[in-house]
Amino acid sequence: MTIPELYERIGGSYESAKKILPMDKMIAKFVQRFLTDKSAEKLFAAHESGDETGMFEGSHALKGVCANLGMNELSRLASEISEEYRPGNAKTMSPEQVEQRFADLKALYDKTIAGIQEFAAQQ
Amino acid sequence: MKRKMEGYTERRTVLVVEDNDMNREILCDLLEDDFNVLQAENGVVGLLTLEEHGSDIAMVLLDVYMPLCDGFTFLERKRESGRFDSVPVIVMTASDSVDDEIRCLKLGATDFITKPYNIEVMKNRMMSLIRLQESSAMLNRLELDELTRLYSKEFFFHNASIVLQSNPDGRYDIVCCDVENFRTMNERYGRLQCDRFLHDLAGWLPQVLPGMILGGRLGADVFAFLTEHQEQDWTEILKNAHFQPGPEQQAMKFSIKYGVAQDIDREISISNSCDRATLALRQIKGRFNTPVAVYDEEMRRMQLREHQLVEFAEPAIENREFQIYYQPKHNLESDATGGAEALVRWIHPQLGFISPGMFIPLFEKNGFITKLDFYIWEEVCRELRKLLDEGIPAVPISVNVSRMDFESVDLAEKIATLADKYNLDHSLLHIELTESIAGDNPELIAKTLERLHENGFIIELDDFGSGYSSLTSLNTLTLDVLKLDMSIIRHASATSDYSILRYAVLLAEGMRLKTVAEGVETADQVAALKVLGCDYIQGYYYSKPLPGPEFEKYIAARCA
Repeated sequence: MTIPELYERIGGSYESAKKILPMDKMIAKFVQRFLTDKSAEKLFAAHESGDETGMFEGSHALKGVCANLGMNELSRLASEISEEYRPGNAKTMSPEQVEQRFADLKALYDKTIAGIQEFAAQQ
Repeated sequence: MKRKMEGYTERRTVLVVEDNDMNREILCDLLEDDFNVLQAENGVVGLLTLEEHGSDIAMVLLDVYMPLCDGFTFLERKRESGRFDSVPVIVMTASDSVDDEIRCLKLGATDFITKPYNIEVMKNRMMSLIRLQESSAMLNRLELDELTRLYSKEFFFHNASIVLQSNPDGRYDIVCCDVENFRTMNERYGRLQCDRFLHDLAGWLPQVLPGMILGGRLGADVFAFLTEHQEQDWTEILKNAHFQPGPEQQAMKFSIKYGVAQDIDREISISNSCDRATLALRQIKGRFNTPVAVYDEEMRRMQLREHQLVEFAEPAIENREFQIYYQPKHNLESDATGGAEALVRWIHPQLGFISPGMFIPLFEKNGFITKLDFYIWEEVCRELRKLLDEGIPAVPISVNVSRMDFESVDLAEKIATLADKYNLDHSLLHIELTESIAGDNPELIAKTLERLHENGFIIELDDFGSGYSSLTSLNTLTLDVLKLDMSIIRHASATSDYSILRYAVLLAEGMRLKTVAEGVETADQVAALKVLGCDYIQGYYYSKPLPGPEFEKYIAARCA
C-alpha cells in the first residue's frame, strides 16, 4: 500500500499531510506513530467517566495531531467535541448529538487505525 | 533533500514546549535541519529548561493546552521572573481560538502561529523574530550613536542622571531639538544626504549651546542636550544660531525647532524632563518663525489638568457629574420636534464646566470612554422611560458610540439589553457614529452595524462632510441617516453657494437615507435647507441643547 492509497483508504487528505510533512518518509513515520498516540484513548476514557476536562484535553490534542497528519475529518470531529467542552464555552449540543459525534468519531478512528495497521504490516 | 535556510549560518537553539509527544516529535523533525531543538513536555519542564540554558535559547515555541502548567501559566511565570524577557515566544494555537491568541499576546507572547504548521512560513517567521530580537539587543549595547557620535538614548539618560547626582547643587537645562518634516526631507533629498546633514547638525549644536555638558540622540531626528542652567532666555540664545549645512547640502530647505525644559526638576527623571522639553517643542511644530519654545507653567498646568481629569473621571460617574443635554431635531415636513441628540456635559464641583473637547479625547486615549458612553446610553434610556411614563410624546434620541465601543464584540446586544431593561422600543434609540471610526476596521464595524440593525436600532452617520468623508463608507456601512456637518452648512450660507449641500442631500436621497443638518442658526439657512429637501434640522435656530427637565417641557409643547 502506498501512502496515497493509505490516505484514500482512511479518508484523509494526502495533500494536506504533504503540506505539513514535506517528505513521504516523514508521513510514513508519523502515521505509524499515530498508533501509539494516547490522545484518542484519553478522550474515550474521559467520555466513559463523564470527565469534561478530560474530554476537552483529549479531543483538543487529537484535533491537533490529526490536523498535522492531514486527517482532516477526524480533526474536525474532534474539534467539534473540544469546542463543546472548552472551559467557558456554552453547551450547544443535546446529549444525543454529543453521543452521535462520539459514535462518528469512534467509527472513523477505528477505520483509520485499521488502515494504518495494515499499512504498517507491509513496511 | 535537505533544504537549508539561505543566509543563516549560525544555528540557533529553540525550545519546544508541547505536551503531545507526537506533535512535539513532528515539530522537532521539521526544525532539526535548521535549529538545535530542546524539548519540554509541559510548562514546568519548559521553565526549568529556560533556567538551565538561559539566553542560549533564541526562541520558545509554546503550546497552549498542557497538563500541569499550561501556556498561559508559562507566560505568566516567565514574565514574573523578568530574566528571560529577551527570549521571544511564539505560541502555537488552533486556528479557531482568537481569545487564546489575544490572551497570550497580552501575557507577553511575541507572536503566534496556527496549527497545522506550515513549516516554511513558520521557519521564516521564527528567523525574522530572532533576528529582530538580536539586533535590538545589539543596539541597546551601543553607547554612542554611530551616525552622530552622540550618546544613544539610554546612555544619555543614564549619564545625565549621573551628572545630576554628582552635583547636588547644580542647576541644569534640557534642550531638545527636532528637524521638521525630516521624513519628507529623507524622501526628497535621499537618505545619504540627510544622514550627512544630521551628522553635521549633531556636531554643530554642542558648539552653539552655552554650558553644554552632554548630548544624546533620542530618535531619528530628535536630539537632547543637557546644559548648565542659563539665566538668559533660550529664545534669545538660539535666535542667532543658524545652522549651515555642508557644501553638498547647501540646497536643502530645513527648519529646526527647539524645546527647552529650564532648571530641571530633580524630583523627576531625565526622561521626563526630555518629555517636557519635547512637549514644548510640539507646540511650535509647523509654526513658521517660532523656533524655540520653553516648557512653562501654562504647559505644566495643562499636563496636570489632563492628569487630574483622568483621575476625576471615575468618581465623576458615581457623583453624577456628567449631565446629559438634549438638542432637539426639528422635522421640517411635519414642523414638529422629530428627535434629539444626547450630548454630555461635565460639571465638576471644583473645576466647574469642563468642555467635552477637553475630556473626550483624553478618555478615548485611556479607554474610559466606553464606560462614559455606557453611562450616557443608560441615562438616555432612563429619560425615554420617564417621557413615556409621564405621557410626554417620546421622540427618538440619538447617542454617540466611540471607536473603542466597537471593540466589544457584543456591542449590539449590550445596547439591546439596556433598552430592554427600560422596556423601550429599540427604534427610539438612534446610534450615531463618525465616519473616521469606519476607517479602522471596516469589516468589524459593518458587521456590528448589521447586528444593531437586526436589533431594530437606527444608525446615523455623524459629521458627514467634515473632512473624513468618503463615498466608500457610504457603500460599506448600512446606514439610515446622514448628518450633514455644520461646516458644509456654514460654508454654503457664507458663500451663498449651496451646490455641495444640494449634492449631499441628493446623494442621501439616492441612497434612501434621511438627512439631518447640524449647526443651523438662521432662518435663511432653514429656508434653503427646506428647499433642498433636507429632512431634519438641528441647531440653535430651533433650540440649544437642553437639560432633561427643560427638554421635557420643550417637546411637551411642540409635539402635542
